[in-house]
Amino acid sequence: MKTNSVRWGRVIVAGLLAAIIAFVVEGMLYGSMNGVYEGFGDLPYAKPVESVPAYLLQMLAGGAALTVLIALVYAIIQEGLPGQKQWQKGLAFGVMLLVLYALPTAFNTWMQIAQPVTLILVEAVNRTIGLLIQALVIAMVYGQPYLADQARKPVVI
Amino acid sequence: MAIDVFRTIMGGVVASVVWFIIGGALYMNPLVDKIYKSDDNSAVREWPNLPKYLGLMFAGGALAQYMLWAFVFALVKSALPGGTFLRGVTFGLVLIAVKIFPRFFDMWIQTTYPNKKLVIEFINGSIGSFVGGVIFAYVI
Repeated sequence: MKTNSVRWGRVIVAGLLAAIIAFVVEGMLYGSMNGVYEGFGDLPYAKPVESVPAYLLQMLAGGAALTVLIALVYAIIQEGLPGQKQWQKGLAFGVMLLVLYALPTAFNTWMQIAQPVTLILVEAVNRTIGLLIQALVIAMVYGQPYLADQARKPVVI
Repeated sequence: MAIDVFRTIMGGVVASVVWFIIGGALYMNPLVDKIYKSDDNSAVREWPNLPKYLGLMFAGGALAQYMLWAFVFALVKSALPGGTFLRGVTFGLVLIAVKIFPRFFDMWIQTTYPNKKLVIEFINGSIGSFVGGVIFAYVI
């Protein structure tokens, strides 16, 4: 891989699209879990949210920046991922993110934060689903051949 | 692609041991230790049994984690640029991008975990990422 072979425009588009889709899906997942969180009452480790719109905007903006970074990682390592088709590489990338991030994060959270284990597991599952979605979207968007490449292919009549 | 399982496991074990030693120095030096001990925050889980805490940190926080990372490195190393050292550094950057940054952001935006500790853990986590990456590159 050479850095000049990274398609930077594709990285940004793939990252942003993946971030938005994962944001919506994870929002629905967490929205469906409100009852679980409320069952624990006051959670001393949770940062109070003063403004829900501002919080959601921060989550989306921060998530978008991080997902573009993840898309860049995909662009760099995709040739090393198993699979012939884009969705296969995306799935492999999602499993890689699970191994590199979701699992260690669940463990580190349990070690360091006074968060109930049930909520750690809920967040690990939701995070995994979000990462798999991001990985698949990134792979499908980034991996699409250029239209110019398509135009150069010989047309068989 | 074929993975040399033995070398990969060796890479994970060596990286975890090296990191545990370096991490010990980074977290238990007087300056950082003072910050961790002085902070009384309800967000932080307490571990009164230090040997148990250290055992869990090694087993889960170092050995298991670096072992998983070693297999990922073995899988993607052919796609990483440059010679051995640069491949290790690049993998370290990959770890920072997919783990250290997201964890920092999540913890900062959602928890009352002390900011000083977040910064320390960001820096130390980044060092650990490069340590792991470079060791993987030379061993695996």
